[in-house]
Amino acid sequence: MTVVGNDVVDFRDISPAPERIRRRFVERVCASSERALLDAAHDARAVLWALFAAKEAAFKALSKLGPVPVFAHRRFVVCPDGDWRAPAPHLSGAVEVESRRFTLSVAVTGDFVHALAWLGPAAPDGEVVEDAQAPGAAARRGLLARLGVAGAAVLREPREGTRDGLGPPFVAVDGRRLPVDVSLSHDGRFGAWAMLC
Amino acid sequence: MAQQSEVMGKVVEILRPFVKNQDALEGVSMDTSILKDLRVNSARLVDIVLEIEDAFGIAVSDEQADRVATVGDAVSLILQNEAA
Repeated sequence: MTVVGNDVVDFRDISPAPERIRRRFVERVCASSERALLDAAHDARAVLWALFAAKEAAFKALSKLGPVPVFAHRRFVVCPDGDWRAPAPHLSGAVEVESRRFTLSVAVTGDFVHALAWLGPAAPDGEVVEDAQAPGAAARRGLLARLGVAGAAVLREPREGTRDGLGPPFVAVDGRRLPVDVSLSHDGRFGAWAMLC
Repeated sequence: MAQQSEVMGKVVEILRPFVKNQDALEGVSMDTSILKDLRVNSARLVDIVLEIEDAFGIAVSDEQADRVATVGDAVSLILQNEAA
């Protein structure tokens, strides 16, 4: 089974929560090992949102493997490879949840973090695109452009248990699903897509 | 115990700083989707749950927080927690 999830966080669109809420946000979202990492991180903001995006990406991937799970961020534990305390443009590791271990890759720039979490032997393809007016549509266009399949469309079907009542996106041509797993995300100015064949 | 309309008024004020689509707040109802209609992202939704905990003196479990999709869901969980 190969599945992928992705998530982008726009640093310009970070929640305006006051400091008392930000501290409790960390306690609610992060496992104890992750809180220790944040305390030691050179750029705690980048690491916090890398952790958050990693959990969101892993949740999207996990949701494709069975019933929609309860999304408690703290139960999705990020296990870094290497030293995440120092600033770096690329972070890697895994996200562990229940009995699953998703491979993780996070791109970190001055503008955003973009996390990819997946199961499968090969790394997914993925990209972040900037379009402040319609980042979600830009992500879909980018995905379809990379696929390059005439007549392909990104669709979603109704699904019980999700916040918006819809299941994960998939790609189809004339109603027939293509054998590629995809994920979409958008936040602030940025849209992002990922696919795993 | 607070009435539903009173709770909803407080919830709207809690939502206000986190909402990108302020126009949608003007016509807010129990059916308004916090993520889709108000364009609140998932990180901000965590902050909103924490603000609700502070404002109403309640503890919202992960399972309860995960079920919040609409303004009505938030109001219901507050009323349920206050009654418990």
